[in-house]
Amino acid sequence: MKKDIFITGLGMISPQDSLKAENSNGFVKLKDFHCMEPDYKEFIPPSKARRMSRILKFSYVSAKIALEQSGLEKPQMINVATGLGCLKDTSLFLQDIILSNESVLKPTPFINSTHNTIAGLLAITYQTKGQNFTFSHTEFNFEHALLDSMIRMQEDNISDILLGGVDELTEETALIKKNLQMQNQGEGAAFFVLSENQTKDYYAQITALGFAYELDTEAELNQAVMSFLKTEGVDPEEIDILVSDKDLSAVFSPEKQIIYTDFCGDYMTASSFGLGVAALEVKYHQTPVLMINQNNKNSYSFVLLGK
Amino acid sequence: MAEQRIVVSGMGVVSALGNHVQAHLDALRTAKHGISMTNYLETIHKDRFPVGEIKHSNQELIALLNLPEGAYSRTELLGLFAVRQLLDSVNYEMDNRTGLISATTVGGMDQSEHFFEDYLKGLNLDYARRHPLGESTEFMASQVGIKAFRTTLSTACSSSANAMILGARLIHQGVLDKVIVGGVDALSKFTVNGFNSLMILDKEHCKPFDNERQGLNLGEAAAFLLIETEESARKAGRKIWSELKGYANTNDAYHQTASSPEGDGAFDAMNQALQKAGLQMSDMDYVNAHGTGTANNDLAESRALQRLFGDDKIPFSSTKAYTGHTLGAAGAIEAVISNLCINHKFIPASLNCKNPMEEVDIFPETTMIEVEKMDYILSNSFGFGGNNSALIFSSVKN
Amino acid sequence: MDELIQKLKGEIIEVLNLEDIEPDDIDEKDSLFNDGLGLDSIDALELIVLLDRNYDLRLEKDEEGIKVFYSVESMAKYITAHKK
Repeated sequence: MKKDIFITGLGMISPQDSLKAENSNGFVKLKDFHCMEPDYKEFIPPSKARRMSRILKFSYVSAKIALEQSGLEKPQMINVATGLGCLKDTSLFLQDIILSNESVLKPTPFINSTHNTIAGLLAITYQTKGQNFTFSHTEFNFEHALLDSMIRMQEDNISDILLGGVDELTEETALIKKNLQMQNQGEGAAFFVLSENQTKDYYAQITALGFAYELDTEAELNQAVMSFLKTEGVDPEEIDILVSDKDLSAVFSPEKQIIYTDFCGDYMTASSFGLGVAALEVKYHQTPVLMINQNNKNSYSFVLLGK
Repeated sequence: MAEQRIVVSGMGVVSALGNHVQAHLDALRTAKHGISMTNYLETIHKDRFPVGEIKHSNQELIALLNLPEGAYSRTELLGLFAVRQLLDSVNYEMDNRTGLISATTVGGMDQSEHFFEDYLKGLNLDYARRHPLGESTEFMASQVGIKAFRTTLSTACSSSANAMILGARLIHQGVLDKVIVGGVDALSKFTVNGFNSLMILDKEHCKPFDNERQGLNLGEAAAFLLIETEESARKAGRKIWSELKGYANTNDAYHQTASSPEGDGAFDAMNQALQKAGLQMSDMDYVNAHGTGTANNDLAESRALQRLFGDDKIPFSSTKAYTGHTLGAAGAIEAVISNLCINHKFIPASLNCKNPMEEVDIFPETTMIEVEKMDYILSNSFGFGGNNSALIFSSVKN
Repeated sequence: MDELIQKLKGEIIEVLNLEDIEPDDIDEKDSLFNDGLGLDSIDALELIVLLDRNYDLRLEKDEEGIKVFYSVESMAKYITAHKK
């Protein structure tokens, strides 16, 4: 990459006390993964809050904090990843359709249900007229948004990007997932300011991102990790911390492994929380961190963060 | 090293106009639209709102696709139909340097809404699995053997135009060599009722850019295009439809659903796409407008077009009165249409447009025209959340 | 009419989720859109739904909307005039 990419701001709302966390030392293993929510009145003017569902509030506050930390008033573009989008609103509108038998319906939940409402709200808030993408895939969703951000950052005229991942757990989803036997469902929002300019209090540099698809054995995964690091000119011995969504100690075991899903649960954009944890670790320990995520089958994403 | 040219080298489409690319060409050239009352969608509004419905039931689609009996959403069936059509049309040999970027606004909602009450009781969970937007993309990918990069964008009505932009970027970056880009959305009670709650559905056949327009007709479609570098297409011996010469995605940052009345967002998107292409609006031979037929969009878009046209008269039309507004598929189906126009050198008529809008001086083409020169086409897709995209296609000698 | 006006204020606050506003904060003669409460086109649609669901009234023409929804008072007048 010709330009460095610094994480200069980070805001996370999660089941942990993460909103203004300086490190992940205080994060604890949980069984129930509902977010610890701040007093939104502190952050959101009532005229805006009135039309915001929970997922919008998560995103608004996380993004606000990230931007404040970075000292950036207005990002040039916004990329958001959300797997299930604005579920509560979708569900409200569906229920309204059923209850009123498709007669007169309140428009607000419908308008709020489109997945790009989150990125749209942030664009209006910060008057950001540049690219505004919303990624809504099932796997590696946040990593795809990160990939696009990293590519765009290399362009001459892009210097600051607001990037986030968010998903919410509603009563309906929790119920559906319980019935589908998907345990440990979580939720949260993690927003990052990516900048070509280093700031005094930046968290980490994003050095590299890679994917490895359809690996059948642990040995293949190990090989893929080694190959990824080698391509970046990084000696595996230099990596002291692994942040991952599952226990991968059999494949790659530096001094410390953090299984971040123990803190935030499982959801389609949980790797955004993972990146947040990784960034905190880099800043606190002043050491590079590798993040590995697995999809539901046998493909993997790798993110390398440097100090 | 200069960026390589990105070209369109294959297309697949299914909409109210028909099951394949040729059907779309024929319909556009003869000004025959596909709008009717719904046959398959169970809604109380069945007889109220005309739609652009695909003339097949889900059972028929399953049979056409030779799929085993099972729980499928209409969205994934339509998507697979179009992707397979695309791949078959170019005898494609799948590999791991081929990606899939699909786009949709409501994914498997056609089934979710049907079974919503059941899910809550723990019944019919196979359909619950299909609700996430990305599931239709995963389904298509696994059916056609795409094992590496695949993702889904969702930016309302500009979604599949953005899929093309992302695809081009990934090729330039060397992440992929070839990308299948496009989008799909099926009709659903959710969207019919949603747009009705905004009071922007026309109870009659829509009239984009007409002064008396009353709103849009919803449609459903799946449209996918194959994009790759020119070198890659020529090496594979694939016919090149056009070059994706310019593109841009911008945000209005004005309001959740309405466009800024002066059309600033639309203006920015078109202007930046032109800049990226190194072209001026006066170079354009045709603009395929977003033109939904709503009071707000058509006004904002017309104002933006007029500003960019200046003193030049550039032909433009909306093709949404043929297909309906296909939401997540709109950008891609109009990319297919633009490619047909470039290759067959014609401008489709903007249907049902009789009365010029009071606020502007420009007026679309209302009859189909064959032209001598068709080298540059600008295609617009503007969505809720102020999401505005513009694509520019240019002709390529084969 | 006063009772209806008070009731309407409460309903408007509820339907538009105006959390920080009390009925007494709304002057029934003030314009709801533009300056007054600063409502927008989405709020207008919500008020149309309110009229339909709570008062079983539907506007005849779109143009009526601007007059009917000008203020709480004009809404109350419309409801009183068209009550079934």
